Amino acid sequence: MRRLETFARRLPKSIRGRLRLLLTAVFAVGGIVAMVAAWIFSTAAATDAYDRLLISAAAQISEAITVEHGRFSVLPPDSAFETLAQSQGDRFFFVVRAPDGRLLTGHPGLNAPIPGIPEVAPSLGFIRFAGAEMRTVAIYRLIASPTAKGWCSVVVAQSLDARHRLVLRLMLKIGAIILFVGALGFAVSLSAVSLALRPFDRIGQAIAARREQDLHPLEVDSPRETQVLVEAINSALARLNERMTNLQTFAGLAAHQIRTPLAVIGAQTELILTDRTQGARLARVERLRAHLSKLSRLTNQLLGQAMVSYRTDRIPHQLVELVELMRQVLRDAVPESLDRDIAIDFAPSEDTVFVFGDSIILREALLNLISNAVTHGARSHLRVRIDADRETVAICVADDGPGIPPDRWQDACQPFSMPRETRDGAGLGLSIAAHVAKAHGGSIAVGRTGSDLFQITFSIARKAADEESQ
Amino acid sequence: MRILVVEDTRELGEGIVECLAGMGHAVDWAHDGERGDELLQAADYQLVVLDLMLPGMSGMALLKRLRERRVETPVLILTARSAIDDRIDTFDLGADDYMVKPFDFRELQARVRALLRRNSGDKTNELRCGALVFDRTTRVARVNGRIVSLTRRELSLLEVLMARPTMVFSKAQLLDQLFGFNAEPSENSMEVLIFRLRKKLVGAGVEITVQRGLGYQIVET
Repeated sequence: MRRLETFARRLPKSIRGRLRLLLTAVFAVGGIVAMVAAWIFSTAAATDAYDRLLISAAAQISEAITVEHGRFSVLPPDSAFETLAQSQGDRFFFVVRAPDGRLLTGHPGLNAPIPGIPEVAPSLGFIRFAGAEMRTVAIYRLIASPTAKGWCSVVVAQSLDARHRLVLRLMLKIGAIILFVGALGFAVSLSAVSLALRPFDRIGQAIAARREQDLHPLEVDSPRETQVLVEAINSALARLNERMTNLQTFAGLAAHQIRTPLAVIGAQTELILTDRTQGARLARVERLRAHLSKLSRLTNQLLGQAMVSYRTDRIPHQLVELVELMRQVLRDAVPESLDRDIAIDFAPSEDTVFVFGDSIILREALLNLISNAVTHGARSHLRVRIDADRETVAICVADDGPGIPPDRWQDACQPFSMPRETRDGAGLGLSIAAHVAKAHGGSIAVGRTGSDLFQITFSIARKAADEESQ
Repeated sequence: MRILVVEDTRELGEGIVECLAGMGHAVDWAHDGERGDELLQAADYQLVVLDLMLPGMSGMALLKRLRERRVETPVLILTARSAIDDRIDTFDLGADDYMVKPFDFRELQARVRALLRRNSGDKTNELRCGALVFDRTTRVARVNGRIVSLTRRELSLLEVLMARPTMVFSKAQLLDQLFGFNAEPSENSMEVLIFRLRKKLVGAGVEITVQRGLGYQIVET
C-alpha cells in the first residue's frame, strides 16, 4: 500500500505528463505483446510448412522400401531429395532400418528421439545431431510380402536454418508493420493529448496576462468541455470583485465614521481651554465623554466585524447551546449603569437549544442585537424568545422603543445605513448580525409584533445540528 | 469596603483608583502581578479589579494562585482582548465578571456595586423566602415555579433584601447598594420602587414591610 503511494507521488504532476507516461507504457507493452505473438505465429507457420516437406520426403523414402529375395531393401527416390532440397541450405540426414533394426541405408548414427512403438502416423521431434539442432520425423511402414514381414522405419533429420530464415523474414515484415502502426498511434495519441489540454494553457495564459487589479470576467475562446471551468473561474472572480468593492466602500465609510468623532473630540478639547466658566467646561467634558463612548462602540464593532469576516467559512462549526449563550450575552450586553430601568423578559421554551455553528460569531451577533435593543431601543421592556422547530431556530429580540422606521427596514442591515442624527451607535450592529445569520444559513427580519413591540428576528438553520446529533 | 486594583498602566490605574475611592471604598493599587499577589496574601479584600496583561506574573496566573488558596474574594477582570476564549478561561479560573477596555467608568462603578451586592450575605445561588425563589445565576425570580416579570432595579432590590431576610435596610443603605453614594435617584424614587415591587409580589408569601424611621425588610407572611 505504502509502496503504491510512493509510486503515485513520483508520477508527474501534470495531466499531460501522466497521460504521456500512460500512453508510452501502453504502447510499449502492446508492442512487446504484438511482437511476441507475431514470433509465436511465424514460428508455428514456418514449422508447419517445413514439417510438411519433411514428412513428405520421409513418406516418399518409405514408399521405396521393397522386399527382394526375402530381404528388405530400399533405394531412396530422387523426388525425396528434391523435396528436401526445397529447404535451401539445410543439411539433412536419413536412415532406413529393417524391422529387426538392421541398417538398410543411410546414416547409421541417426536415431529417432523417441524410438517408440511403430505407428502409422509420422512422429516429429528435435534432436542434436552432427553438431546442430535438427528436426526429425520418424515414419514406420508395415511391409508385408510372402517372404518377409514387419515394420520398417524411416528417420529423416533436417537442420533448422531455412526455418529460422523464414521466421526472421516474417518477423522483419510483421515487426515493421507493428512498429509503423504503433508509432503512428503513439504520435496521434500524444498530439491528441496536447490538443485536448491546449484550452487549459490558453485559460492559464489569459489569467497570467491580467493585471493585478483586473477582476473582470475571463474572455477565452474555449470548447464546451472547458467552458465549465471558465464559468467557475468567472463566478469566483465576480464574487471576489463584489467583495473587494464592498470592502472598499466599507473602508471609506469606516474611515469617515472614525475621523469625524476624532475631529469632534479634538475640537472640543481645544474649546475646553477657552471656556471661561467651570459650568461650561463641565458641559464640554460631558459631551467629550459621550463622543468617546461612541468611538469605543464603533471600535468594538469594527473589530467585531473584522473578527466575524475572518472566521466566516474558516472555522469549522460545532454544537452550540443557545440558551446559556443568550444568558451570558444578556449579562454582558446590558450595562449595569443603564439609567432606564428595564424589565428583561427571557423565558426560553426549552432548557437547551442546540444548533451547529461558530459560538464566537454567534455571540458577537447576539451581543450586537441585545446591545442595540438596550442602548437605543427599550424604554422599559426587552423581550427575548428562542423559538426552535425542526429546521430553524429563531431568536426574537423585541423592545418597546421607537425601533427603526418602516421605510428603512429594507436596508437596515447595510453598514452605516441609518442617518447619523438618528443613531447614537456606530451603525454596524445589524450588519454584523446579518452577516452571521447568513453564515449559518439564515437571515434577519425586521418587524413589529402583535403587541406593537419592535422586533428583530435572527433566524438560523439547525439542520446540520440534527444530523450531527442523530 | 476594601478593594485591590492590579493594573500596570499608570493613567488607567489612577482613574480606576480615584473612581472606586470616590464610591467610598478603601483602595490599594498594585502595579504588577507579584505585588498584587503579596498584598492578597497579606490582607483581606472584598473585591479585586484585575488587569489580564501585566508585566511579570500575568493576571491569569494571579487569579489561579488566588483560587488555589481557596480565597473566594470576587474578581473583576479587565481585558483589552474581547475574544471569547479569554472570557471562558477567566470564568473557568473563577473570575466573577469581566470588562473589555475601553470601558465607561460609570459602568465600572455599577459592576463593582453589583459584585459587592451579590457577595454579601448568603452566598448560595438560590435565595428563598416564602414561595419566592430568587436564582442569582440566571437572575430570575419565581413564585411557585412561575416567573415574576421584574425590572433590573426591582431584581437588584429583591436580591439585597433576600440575601438577609428580616434584616432592616435603611433607605440610604439601599440607595447606596443600588445606585451608589452620589446617585441622583432620590429617596422618593426608592419608595416608588418598593411600591411597585410589593405589587408584583402579591401572593408570593412574602411581604416588604416598613419599620418607621428605620427602613425596609422582607419577611414571610
